[in-house]
Amino acid sequence: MKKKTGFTLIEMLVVIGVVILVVPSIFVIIFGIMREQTKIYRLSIIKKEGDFILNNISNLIKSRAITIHSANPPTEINQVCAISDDEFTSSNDRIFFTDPENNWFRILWSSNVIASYSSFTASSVNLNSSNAIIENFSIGCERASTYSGPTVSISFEICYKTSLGSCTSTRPEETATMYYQTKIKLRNY
Amino acid sequence: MKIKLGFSLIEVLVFVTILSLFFVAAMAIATYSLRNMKINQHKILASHYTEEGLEWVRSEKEDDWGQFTDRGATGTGITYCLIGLNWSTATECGTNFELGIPPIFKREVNLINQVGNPVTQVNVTMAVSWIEGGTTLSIPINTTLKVLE
Repeated sequence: MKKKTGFTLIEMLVVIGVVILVVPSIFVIIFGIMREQTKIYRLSIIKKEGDFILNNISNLIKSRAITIHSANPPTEINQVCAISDDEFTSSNDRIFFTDPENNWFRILWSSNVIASYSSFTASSVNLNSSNAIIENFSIGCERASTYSGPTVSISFEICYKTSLGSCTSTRPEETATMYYQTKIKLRNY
Repeated sequence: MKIKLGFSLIEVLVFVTILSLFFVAAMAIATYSLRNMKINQHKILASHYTEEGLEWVRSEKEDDWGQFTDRGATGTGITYCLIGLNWSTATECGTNFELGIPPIFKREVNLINQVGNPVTQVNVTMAVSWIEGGTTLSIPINTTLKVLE
């Protein structure tokens, strides 16, 4: 009688059956972990950058701004929110401020980036990285009375740039969007 | 005597037991970390919603202090359900978890006016809570807003 080596059909079927059951569940868990990791990474980046922009702009305006202007260079003609009941919303997503040293600085939104420019250093600084996209930016100011300082209001949406180069994606784990808004009252005015 | 090839039943059983124990442990760790990551993701979002709400309350305060103090009350104060950024719901959220995408969060703010006339100080408690696997998690922030700052 010939000596049998190898596995029988039944053995092979059982093994393949077990593999078919186990492998998909392992992959589901691995891909689940990878998806969550992507989402958490993107959310934390977006939150970090959004918080940074908000803090940076708030501190800058609170401590440095004296008057608010709608155009460049800041003069008395283009000053806004200087009198009570004045309201102004920038139509070209930028606003100019004079500072105590008679220099000026500007907060500007252009092509998905929030940038601040200072006439003292004559350089523009992007406040968000190229990984992030800023959308629905709005900046303006209002003043209730001449006895209290004008308030600058800012709102924007920050999202992580997906593989499509925009805020949207067919894969929900790729998207991370956060809404930010604040009002800052000028201390020196 | 015929030479035995292969493993004995005992050997196979021991091997399979060790292997299955290993796999069960690995799976348990993987699912645990997956759950943790989900919780962390929600925590990031919740802390953002808390800060967003607080920033909005602060901007309301900057707008008009008198109107702002009318929103609160002395004693236990008044609690608002801040689903959107407005004062329309002057009650607790209860079981309405309608904030965020997916809507699993609720955001409540409590305004307690400190005694005085006119009111010069308001204690603000902002809390975002959500249910995670049967337990309610919450991220609260307390702050005090003063008329002159």
